[in-house]
Amino acid sequence: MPIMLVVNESLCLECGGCVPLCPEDALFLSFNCLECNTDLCTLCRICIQFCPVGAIEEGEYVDV
Amino acid sequence: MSMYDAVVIGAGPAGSMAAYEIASAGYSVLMVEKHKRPGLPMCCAEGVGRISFEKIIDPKPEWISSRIDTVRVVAPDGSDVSVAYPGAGYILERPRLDYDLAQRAVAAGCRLECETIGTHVDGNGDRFESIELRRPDGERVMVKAAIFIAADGIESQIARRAGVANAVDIEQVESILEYRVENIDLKVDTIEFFVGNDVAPKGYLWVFPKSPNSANIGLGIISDTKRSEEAGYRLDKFVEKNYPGAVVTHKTAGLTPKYQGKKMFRIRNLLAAGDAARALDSLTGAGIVNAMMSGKYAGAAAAEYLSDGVDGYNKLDNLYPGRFLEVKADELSLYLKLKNVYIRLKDDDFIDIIKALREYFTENSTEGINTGRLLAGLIRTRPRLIRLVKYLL
Ligand SMILES: Cc1cc2nc3c(=O)[nH]c(=O)nc-3n(C[C@H](O)[C@H](O)[C@H](O)COP(=O)(O)OP(=O)(O)OC[C@H]3O[C@@H](n4cnc5c(N)ncnc54)[C@H](O)[C@@H]3O)c2cc1C
Repeated sequence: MPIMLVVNESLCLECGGCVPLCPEDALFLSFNCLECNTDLCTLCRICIQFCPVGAIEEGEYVDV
Repeated sequence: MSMYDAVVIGAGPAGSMAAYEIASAGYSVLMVEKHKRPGLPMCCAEGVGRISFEKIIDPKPEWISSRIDTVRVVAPDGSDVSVAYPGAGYILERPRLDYDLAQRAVAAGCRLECETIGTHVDGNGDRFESIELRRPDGERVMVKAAIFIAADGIESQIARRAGVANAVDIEQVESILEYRVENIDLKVDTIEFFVGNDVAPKGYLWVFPKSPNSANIGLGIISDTKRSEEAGYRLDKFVEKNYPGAVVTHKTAGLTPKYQGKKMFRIRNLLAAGDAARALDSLTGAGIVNAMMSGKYAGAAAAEYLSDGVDGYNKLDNLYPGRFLEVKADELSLYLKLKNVYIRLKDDDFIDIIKALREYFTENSTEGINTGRLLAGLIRTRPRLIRLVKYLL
């Protein structure tokens, strides 16, 4: 199962702090949620390390 | 395709100041803001120095929550220094300030479109000509303009996609967590900073009073591990210990990037202002006043650029960031150097520095601080600090 980033929307405060840290510009703060472009994400985990509220996690990608 | 003289991306303090300047000069300007209303959600401790704030704008009473006359710094061993500094600063009501600044631009003739995201600018290699806007229903439109102002805050994706900004280095920035705390008692005229490895590793913790019973209490930390555990644990511990019975009514977070010099402020006919240009005080992370000021300069430069017709970029560069940095570059660089010293301080250094400050301020006031005497006192109390002087050069 591939691993990908998952944003826990109940924890995310939409501060946008992780966005400029992403080396691949894969994170994007949309109208009311943080989005991750999984095509660009290399799972470097910098955003996970940064997030002051632990809202970004690694999850398993489930193909539906 | 609709067309404006200028498009401003982001209706924070930087964007609204810029839009106001451009509209006041008689040019058509569109300002787009992602959120429903400028000023919300708020990610800020809301502190500003009074003099620098009033240099830019005459404050309205509604913008001010409390007036600060005393700055207290607490060392890791609990020793402290309280510096009386009448009229030092304000704790603002930022949602109100941001909203009013945006409305001020609108009153001057700016068109404001909320719930609209600027995704990226497009151009011909020499000039940016249009910007793509996205609405909540997914609709995308292109808008043309002669000049663009990226005032999109820390996210700064407009400037980054235009090629001006790089990714921020995580080693250089604190993870910030802040609570609005109510049901507490505190001195409404005093801001407090707590320093040391236990309270806030490589950062600091602040208590900014909003009223006699509420405050913005936050911290910034740098660490190599997952920072959420540390930040939450330390902030909770501080609040529980110092303010039993406190109620946390709101949480916010964020990042305050470090100043990176001139390169971040302009690429072709796109000017970046505020956090998007990293125009912050790197030591404290204060960025409100610099955002307003850089926005104002960027807006004024854009208006002059529009009145001249489109030509090379030399003159534009002299106007912006040229004029802004003429006033601010030394200060911004100094704070960056001070930050490089700050992150190297150990708990014992803090204790001795606060002791030296206490000694200095029992004999001297904050008026006309004698930097030489202050530094001499610091080195006498803590000779080890000399080895850090190299980071100031
Ligand atoms: C927790 C915290 C506490 C702080 N405390 C203080 C303090 O006490 N004093 C101080 O001086 N500074 C403080 N700062 C820094 C201060 O908040 C910023 O420097 C200031 O807000 C910068 O203003 P700005 O206009 O550049 O950006 P912002 O205020 O961030 O405004 C940017 C705007 O652009 C919008 N936007 C972003 N991307 C897009 C897009 N693509 N399209 C459309 N709109 C977009 C955003 O929604 C936002 O409204 C703090 C920062 C944090 C995180």
